[in-house]
Amino acid sequence: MEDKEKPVIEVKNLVKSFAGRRILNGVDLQIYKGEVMVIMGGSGCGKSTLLRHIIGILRPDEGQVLIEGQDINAVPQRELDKIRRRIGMLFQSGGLIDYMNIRNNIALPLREHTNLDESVIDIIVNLKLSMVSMRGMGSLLPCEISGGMNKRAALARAIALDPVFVFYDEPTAGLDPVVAGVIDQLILDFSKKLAVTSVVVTHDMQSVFRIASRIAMLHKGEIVTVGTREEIKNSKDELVQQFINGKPEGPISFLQKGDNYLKELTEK
Amino acid sequence: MENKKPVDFISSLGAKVNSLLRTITDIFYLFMQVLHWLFIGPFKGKAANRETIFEQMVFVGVKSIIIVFFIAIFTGFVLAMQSAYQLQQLGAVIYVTGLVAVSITRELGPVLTALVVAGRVGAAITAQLGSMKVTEQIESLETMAINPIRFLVVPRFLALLIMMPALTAIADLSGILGGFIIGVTNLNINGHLYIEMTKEFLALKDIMTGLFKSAVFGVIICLIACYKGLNTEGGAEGVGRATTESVVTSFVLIILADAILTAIFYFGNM
Repeated sequence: MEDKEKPVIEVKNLVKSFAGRRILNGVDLQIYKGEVMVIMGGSGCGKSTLLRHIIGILRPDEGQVLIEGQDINAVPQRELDKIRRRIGMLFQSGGLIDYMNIRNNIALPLREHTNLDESVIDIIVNLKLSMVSMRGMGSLLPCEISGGMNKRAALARAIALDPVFVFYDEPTAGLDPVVAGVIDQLILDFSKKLAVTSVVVTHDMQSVFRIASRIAMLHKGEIVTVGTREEIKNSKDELVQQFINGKPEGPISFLQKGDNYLKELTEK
Repeated sequence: MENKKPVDFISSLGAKVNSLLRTITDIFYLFMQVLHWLFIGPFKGKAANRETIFEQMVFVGVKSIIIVFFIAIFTGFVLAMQSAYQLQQLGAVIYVTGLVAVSITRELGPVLTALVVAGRVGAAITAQLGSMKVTEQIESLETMAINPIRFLVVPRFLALLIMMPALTAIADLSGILGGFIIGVTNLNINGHLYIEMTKEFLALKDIMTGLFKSAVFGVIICLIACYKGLNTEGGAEGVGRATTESVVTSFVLIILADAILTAIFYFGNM
């Protein structure tokens, strides 16, 4: 297949430091059309930072991000905006504009980027609301609904312009298992029915194995391994095995070296 | 005891100067972007939302009227009493009329209004934009290809630019009214005479320079409040810190700008 040969999103040797700390240490990743790519890894390993580079909110110190062959850090702002109109992004906290009600939030990208009539926008908003099972809740403010609804409403906004790519930053974090399952199902639906290419950052293992076409494991700012669900499950890599099974002992260590223990305790 | 080398002092001073210069360039850049979206944006079909502008004008202007009125009228009382206290010794109480009118319109009207608005509106703008920043709302605008400067800053900029002179005009009137009340009730100046004397002393340029000042103060309040808000970091605590910094910085800059503008008007004979 032609599509399989050329990735639609390509991350090349991405390096980023914050205040002297290297967060991303030469990340390489290819994402193909229509797949659900899950990036998993422990807290603070650079997952969200990587996602923010792919959408161009953060600029890398070194390396490139190519979306359909265009280097998003080299194109002028107008071109970047054009690319972004084809991307939907679901933020960890939803990112709904807090002084606008749900309806206006979902209508916002439509009003900004299209010349559609208000009556048409209304229909689209209702359509998107019912896709996330939130019909009739358009008049509520983001602070008046629960966290799970916030995420679903944010998802409705992310897909308002029928994007080609949707990025999710921890879509199921902090949600109850049923709502998490609903969100997972939505991610799969978009990918299958609308041929959306998805990138999901998460450390929710249940969700990873439900939705992923391929999984990339990020550790200490580097991609350790990339593979399908089965490949990851049967991986010989101790790091991967420790992570997917949640074992406290292993190469990912939380125990600090004990040499200076007494000194650290008594030091002021 | 730690030994502090003079080199450390110089390098920390250097770092402070460096960060101050960067802040100034950033604010200048923000100003340029606001002007860009204000004047060039509409021709590209990217004008700021009219509804948002009106909402902000109501918030900045209409809802500040009462507090501005009270502050100005009390200042008028105080000014009339204090100047009468001095002028009585010279037998020149009638000059209270001009003194109140000129000092309110040239100086106190615009400055007090600016301080009130910086405390009420500037703080609110920083707190709102700051909490939007720390809850990923600003980033979500960017990823929707909606420029946060156009969407959030330009309406507030316009609202402050238009409403500051309007509020100052109200402050001018209320201040003079305050002086009038004291003059008529306490200093035995005939009401008609008070108005005639005020007209005699007050020149149009007094009012115009005051209104010009207030527009400049509006720009300062908006730029500082939006800059501090959009650069907030560190959660709820960061929002609090940014808000305090915004108000304090605005206050200092308003007084500084006032001194500079007054000097220009004074030496320029305006």
